[in-house]
Formats: sequence, structure tokens, C-alpha cells
Amino acid sequence: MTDTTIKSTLVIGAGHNALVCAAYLAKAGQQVAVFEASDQVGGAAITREFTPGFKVSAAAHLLYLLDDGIRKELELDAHGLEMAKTDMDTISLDPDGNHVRISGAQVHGVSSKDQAAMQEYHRMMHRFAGVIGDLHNRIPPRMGTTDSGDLLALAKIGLNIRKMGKKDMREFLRITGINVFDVLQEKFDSELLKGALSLDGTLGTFLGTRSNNSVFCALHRLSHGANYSIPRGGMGAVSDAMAAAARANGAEIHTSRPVRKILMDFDRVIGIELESGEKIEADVVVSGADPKTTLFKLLGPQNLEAGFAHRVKNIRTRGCVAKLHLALKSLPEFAGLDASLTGERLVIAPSLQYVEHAFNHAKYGEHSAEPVMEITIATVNDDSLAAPGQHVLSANVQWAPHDLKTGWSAAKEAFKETVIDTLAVYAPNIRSQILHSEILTPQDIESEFGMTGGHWHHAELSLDQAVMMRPVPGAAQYAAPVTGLWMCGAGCHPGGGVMGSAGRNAARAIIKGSKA
Amino acid sequence: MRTVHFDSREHYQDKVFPSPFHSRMEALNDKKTWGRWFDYLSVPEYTCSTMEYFAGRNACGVFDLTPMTKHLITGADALPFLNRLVTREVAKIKVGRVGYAVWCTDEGQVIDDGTIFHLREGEYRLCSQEHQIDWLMINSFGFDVSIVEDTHDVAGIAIQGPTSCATLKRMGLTGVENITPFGISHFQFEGTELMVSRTGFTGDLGYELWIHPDYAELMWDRVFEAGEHFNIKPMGSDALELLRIEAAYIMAGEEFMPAMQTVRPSHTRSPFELGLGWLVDFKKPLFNGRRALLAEK
Repeated sequence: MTDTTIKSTLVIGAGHNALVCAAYLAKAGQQVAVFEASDQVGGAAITREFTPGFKVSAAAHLLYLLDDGIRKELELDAHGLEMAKTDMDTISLDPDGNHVRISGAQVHGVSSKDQAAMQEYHRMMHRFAGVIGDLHNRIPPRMGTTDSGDLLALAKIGLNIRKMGKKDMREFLRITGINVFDVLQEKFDSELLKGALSLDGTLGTFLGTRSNNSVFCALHRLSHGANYSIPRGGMGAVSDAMAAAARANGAEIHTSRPVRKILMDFDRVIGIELESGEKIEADVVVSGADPKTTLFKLLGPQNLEAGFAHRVKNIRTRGCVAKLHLALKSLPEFAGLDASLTGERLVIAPSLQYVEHAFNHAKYGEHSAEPVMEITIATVNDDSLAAPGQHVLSANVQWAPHDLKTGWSAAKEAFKETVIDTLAVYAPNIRSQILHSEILTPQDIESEFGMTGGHWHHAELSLDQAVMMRPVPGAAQYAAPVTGLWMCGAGCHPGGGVMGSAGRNAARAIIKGSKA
Repeated sequence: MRTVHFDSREHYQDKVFPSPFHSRMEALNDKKTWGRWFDYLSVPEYTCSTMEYFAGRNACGVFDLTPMTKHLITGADALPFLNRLVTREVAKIKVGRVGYAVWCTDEGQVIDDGTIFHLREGEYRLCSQEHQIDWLMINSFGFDVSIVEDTHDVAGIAIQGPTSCATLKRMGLTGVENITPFGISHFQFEGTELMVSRTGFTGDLGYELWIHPDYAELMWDRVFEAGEHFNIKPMGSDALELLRIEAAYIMAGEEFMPAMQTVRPSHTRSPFELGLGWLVDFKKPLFNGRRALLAEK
């Protein structure tokens, strides 16, 4: 006797969302096999050695969005996830050493007026982010249907906003679509504080402080409480725990098995073909790759209806963050910063204007002359990444547009020097401490992690590419408009950041779909 | 001659152009009234639309169809491109044949209808009522195909009515009587190629003649010389409107609203609603609107 509800499922890629999806599907009793191109699981949440003796979280380097429900349900802690540091402060570095330290709603190094304003700003933003975060664990409702589930879900969104009360609801509706520059300018005086807070809305996006949608991005970033943490062993530890959970539930995970294409029979997807030429059939194919890779490279636009393919083509995927890795022979000294604080989240964003100017270059296909940076020195909190006394500095650097006007091959080394020079403004001796350095441009990120445009979120996070419009209308419920094909990556709702929600939502949708 | 030129920087200042047949049409246009059909001047009624209608039914009427939107579609993927675009199976339109087709949005709502001419192996002409180049370009993504809107590079007339065949034979188009309905034949005409298709918009015996604009006036003259004995008449769009309604041929903007120009969602129509279900071939694995139309069915 065969149980028709048990489906064989192939998962393309072993990024964190794909692993979460695989784990939930396996948990629900489906036969799951994951195929990953790289020799290790994790996609952009990995730890790798970038020079002998020095390991780094090669793409994502902070954990702050991982869903608690997923962590519990998949028993990630039991599968080896351990935090080296949680509740990290954000330190806005000042060239003169008068740094500003943000610790939740508390802020040190600013006027009492700004301190009071921060209390209110923190309350407001976290409340609003909660409304956004509430959406993250739901399959987005479809627009324009009369389906009771969809209508109920839409009503719930409205109700959640209404429940905030008149004052907060009005403020929520006023600021969600606008830019962080205007909002921060209204609230604070301290440039260091405003600069650091503006990064909430602009890191990982093709948005400057004055670009609308940046408040929405900030709310996305804060949606799980913005508890910046570093897992022991780097971000790869998160993926390893997810992979262990998936395996424990019965999923098979194959690394170094790149997928060449998605196979079709008549009008439905029936399996995958590997680069090796091997063909594997299944009831369901789920792709953790970004929408353009999944639908264009693996499936082919000829296999999609034209209007849908056109919408996918127009998804904005302009990655603009470079990643700097430094192997250091000793702990860097930041002028005016107590050594005990070097393990916190350090940002170079000394003013709103500085951040906006850094972005201006990106608009014209140039990299920033004075870039913005988000720095972590994980080795302060985690001794597993380098030998005692030695350190690894990891920094997100922007803006570094994927399509640099002059091309990256000639500009890459010069940009790395620019970035290190910028760092040296704050840590004057850093050059003498460097044993090895590496910079990944968005093109490197694209080729290493297989993400179109080298974009963190697989698709720009913005209101027009959010919720029921993510990645595009017609695929926002995780099903591609081709029978048998699903998507579960960051290009789907709710987007990127090591969160896992897209993977879990997709698994739920697939399970629901297989019962239908 | 070619009457539309885009080489001048000021071309956009010309709002409406004379047809390649303009000189001949003007001479016959007793009412001195002109209408506009997209980029061209067009004649609604030469003398009397009733007489022109009867010419189309009892003798033969000549109608300038140059303004009709035309596209030349070539390239290795021309067939798969068209098959994804339209609801019918294009592989069934053999070389030298013409097929009627509709194409839809992903939602299965009709964008436009038109004819696909399979000119030569892998070379197609798509004629449509509405301008379609943007939709065709959107559709071309992922296909090895070249799409050129060549509306202005091809002059065309329809010669419709029971004496049309005799007229063309007398004009020297030997063998024109062998063209079956929806067939295409190529003839030599004064050193250029004249394409004749047995197609039309009247439901009667009729042909459409396609030629380079430089030969338009000469061709018009030869047709009218040959047709003199057969009571040939120029025919305006008012008469054609009567003829096509009698034949129950639908037209974008009249019997249905083109989906791309429709503001209210309920005002669009699916092929089934237009009685064109016979053009929808679910044996094809994919075409725009297939999923929606399957659900509708």
C-alpha cells in the first residue's frame, strides 16, 4: 500500500532557507533529497577558511533574524547551535574617538535629549517591526481573490495595524514608505547616532538614507528584536545545525552536486538534471536559489508565460555590498574605544550625509570613495576561528555596485585599499596587523554563492517587492506557475537575512499543496 | 512609394502619413473625406458606401490595408516563440499558409487577434489590429528570434468579391486560381516580388496583395485596369465594416476590448467568451494564458 500524500521532493541548493524547508518537509514525512553545488552546506550562511588558520563567516556575519520558532521546532540548539555572543551593542565609530554606543533603547555618548528620543524611537520602531515581523511567518495572502483564507489574512494585517491605536497607526502609515533620513532627522541631533541607525535601513540594499523604502528595510531588520548575535564557529554553525536537523528527520543532503536544470514533462516539472548529467525524478522540486536563477537559468524563460517571465526579469537584484576579511596578528585598536568593546558590532557611518554620499557613487556605477562599514571581530567572542591572540575582522562594505562602471577586475584591489584606508582612520595601526586580506565584490558573491547580482536578499527588499508581491505576483505563495515547482529562498517572502522563515513558509505551502 | 520615413529627426512632427496608394485613392475619393487609421490617412467612403459594399459582394472592391500592423518574425526560435504567444498550434500552419490566431495575457484575456503568414521556412508575418511590438518584445525574452515591425515597408490591398480571381488572372497572375483559402503564392511583378494570399475580411472570395511600397501605385493601376470589365471599385472602411460584420468577423476595440487597453478588469474577454474556443489548443504544453484558460474551462 502506498500513501499518496507522501511525496518525493528534491531541494535545489542547501542555503539556510532550503535546509529549513527540507527539514520541515522531512519532518512531515516526505522523502527529501537536497542537492548543493558547493562542498559545504549553508549557501551564504557559511564559515570558511580564507587563509590558513583563519576562519570567517564568508557572507552573512551576524545572526539577528533567525526565527525562534524554527530554532525550537527544529531543535537547532540540540543539533549544535551555540551562541558565542548575544545582545551585541552597536558602536558608531567617531574619527575623534567620541564613539556612540547603542545598547537596545539605551544610548551612550549623546545628549540627554537624544537619549530620551532614543527610548521613544526604539519603542516605536520595535512595535512597528513587530507588525512586519508578524507577517514573516505566514504565507502571503493572494490579492483579488474571494478565498476566505486570503481575506482573513488580509483582514488580520489590517487589524494588527489598527490595534496599534490611533497615534501609532498614523505614524506607522506615515513613515513605513518613506526614508530613514527624514525620520531620523526629526528625532535626533547626534550625527553619529543618526548615521548608525540609518544603516538599519540601508545595509544590504540599493538604497541611500534619502531613498524611500529605507524605513521599511529598517523595520525588516528589526523585525525579530535586532538581537545581534554571533554563533560559535561562525554562521556556518547555524547551517550545520539546520542540516543536522534535516538529516535527523530523514532528509538526504548531497554536497558538490550542482544542478544544471529543472526537467519538465509536457506542462509540469518532473525532476532535475545534475551537472554530471544524472537525471533524478520527483513529485516536487523546490528551489532555494534566487528567482532569476531558478526560473531563467534552471527552468528557462521559454517555459513560463510571458507576462510572468517579464515580471521576474524586472525584479531588482542589484547587489551593492562588498565583504572584507582581514586576518590580523593581534587585536586591532580603535582610537578611544575600550578593548573590551571591540567584539561588539562596530559601524562606520559617522553622519547621515556621510552615508548618503557613500551611496551617491553607487547610483552612477562607482564604488564609494569613503565607504560605510559594519564590522565584526568574531574572534573576540569565539576562539574557534583563529589561533589564540590572532583575530579575524569581517566587514560589510558599501556601496560597491555589482555592475561597476569600470568593471571590477581592475578596480577590486584599489577598492580594497580604499576600504582599509577608511578602517585606518579609526584603527590607525591596522595595516601593520594584517597578515592576509580578502575582499569579495558583489560579483564574487554572485559567483561564490550563486546569487543573482550578488544580492543578499536575492531580490531587493522594498514595498513593491514585498509580501504578496515577492518575488512577483503569481509566485508569492511559494509555488511557481509551473506545476511541481516551488521556491523557498530569500527571493520569496519575507526575504533575506538568516531567518529561515521563507523556508518554513514554503514547506507549509508545499505540504498544504500536496494534500489538496 | 514608401511614404513613412523615420530618418529625419523631425519625423515625429508628421502626425499622419499618406498611404503608398494615396495618389490613386485621392483621385477616386469623391467625398474628399479622410479618416485616420493609426499612422495613415484612410478613406471611410469613396463615393457611396452602399455601392462599395455591393461591389464587395457582387463584383470586387479594393481596400487599402497598408495601415494594418505587420511584423516580420524570423530566427531559429520563430516557431516556439509564436507557439508560446498564441493559443493555437502554429506548427499546423505550413509554409505558404496563413492561420488566424488570438493571443492572450497570462490571465487568459484576449490582447488581440490577427493572422500568421508562414512566408518561408521559419519566416513568419504576424498581422494584427493593434500595435503589438512592445508585447512581442516582452515575449521574445529567452528566444532566439528577430522581430521587426514592418508595417511601413509593405504596401497591401485587399481585393474582395466574386470577380476578384478573374481580375487577378486578367492582370497576369497566372495560376492565382489555384491558391486555396488561406494559401499564399508569390508572383513576379515588374521586377519585384508580389505576394498574394487568399485571405480577407469579408467572408467572400478575395485576395490580399502585398508588395514593396515603391510598386504600390503601379500595382493599383494594373489591378484597376484588369478589373474594369469586372466592375471593380475602390472600397472604403465603412463598406468593409458592413462586410465583416455580415461575415461575423470580430475586431479588437469593437467586439472585444484589447486586454492591454482595458481599464476595468471585467471588460476583458477570454477566447471562450468570444466563441474562439476552437483556437485554443490545450495539447500544447504552454502558451500565454494556458493555466487561466484551463481553469476557466
